Amino acid sequence: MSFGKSREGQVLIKPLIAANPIMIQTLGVCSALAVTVQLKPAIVMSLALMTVVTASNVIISLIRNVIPAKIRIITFMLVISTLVALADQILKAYLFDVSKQLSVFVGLIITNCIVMGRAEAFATTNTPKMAFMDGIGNGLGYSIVLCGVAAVREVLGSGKFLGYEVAPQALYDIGYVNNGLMVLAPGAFFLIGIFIWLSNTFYKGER
Amino acid sequence: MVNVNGNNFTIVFAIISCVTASVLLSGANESLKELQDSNVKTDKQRSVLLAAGLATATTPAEEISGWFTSETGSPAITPIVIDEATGDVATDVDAEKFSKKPEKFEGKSMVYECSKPGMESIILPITGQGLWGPLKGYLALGNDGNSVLGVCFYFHKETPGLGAEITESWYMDQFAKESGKKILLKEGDYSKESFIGISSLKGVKVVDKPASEQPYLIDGISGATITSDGVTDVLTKAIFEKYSAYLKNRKS
Repeated sequence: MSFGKSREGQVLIKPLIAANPIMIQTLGVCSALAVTVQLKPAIVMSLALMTVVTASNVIISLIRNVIPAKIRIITFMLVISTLVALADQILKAYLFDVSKQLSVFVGLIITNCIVMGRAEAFATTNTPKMAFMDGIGNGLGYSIVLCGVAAVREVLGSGKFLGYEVAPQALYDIGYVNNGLMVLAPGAFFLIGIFIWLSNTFYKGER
Repeated sequence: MVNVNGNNFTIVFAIISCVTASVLLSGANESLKELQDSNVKTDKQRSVLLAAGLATATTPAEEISGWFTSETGSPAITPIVIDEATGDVATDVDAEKFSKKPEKFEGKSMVYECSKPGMESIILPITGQGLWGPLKGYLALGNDGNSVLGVCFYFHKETPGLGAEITESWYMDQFAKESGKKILLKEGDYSKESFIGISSLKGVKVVDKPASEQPYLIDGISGATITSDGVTDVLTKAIFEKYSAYLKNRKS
């Protein structure tokens, strides 16, 4: 049996498109609007979220048998926020520049519904190994949409890609202007809508 | 086997998990504090130098602190505590004491003077209000107390890609020495009429304005009106209120 067909493989691959956290589960949309004006912060956010969702999944899966059902949600919250705060402290001490870049994201990660959603829906009922795969898979699925939206917004909104000018000056000379809508949050709404529409059209039968 | 969902276990679990989390966090905070503080200090010193164009984002930490310390005599850059209302040097307040608890000394500010020959400049701390939180930074002026050498924001909570552009090079370059920005209409005149500072433009580019107005204008950030307005407030009203007396005293 190939990796793609095994249960681990499925858990890893499905969230990429077919069960994508943003497009299908519609989780984490708020941060997808906030940090996708440019590609660079989107990449930083993607990496940070992938790390946090994977670590929280593994920890919650490890203690899944002792978490009392009554206080499980607040326990998830405790694990997630401790993890993020701890990571923030360590970054501040050893990687100050990265921590400066992350400043606003820290809060966005704690409140990101994907982390909570995967803890509740997956990590509480699966082994740490599966939870790890699920974390990576959902983190990647989130990254694909986030970076996709950010790339389109940056190119159309400011004529740049990763900070480098891509729209040639000749284009501006003949009257081309950057699309102001793309710089604002509504631009992201339209793009995510288009992404969801596309994924619904092409992956209809697979869910 | 204990009943995981019983009340007793739930309470014990809650207590244990909370204590573990708080021990972990306070332990990390305590043990990393020294490193974090020194990072913050270097970062602050770096932005003082960045504003004055004396360092870059990649200058090593030792070189940065070298500007502020000296084994023989006085260092190249010295902090001075001033009284905002009179513009005099506040001799009763020690600079080190001030930087530890600046909020305790109302009406006072700590400015930096660079005395290195050929690079004389004044570096003024600036604070204001952005969209999501305060804006803090430094404004460096030439020895004439009028020409702008640079601006550097070291603390802000603005939206990445929008308001946060204030720390990007295209934005900061607008204040660079080569851009020839000024704060006074009439050199040496620090009255309200002459002290106009620098304003952000909206919808118009600086290059489309008459040459006589250009030194007092910068391009705002599209999609970040409130941040741009905050920068305008800082570089017009706030610096007039805080530093006009000091700059005037310094000149005479």
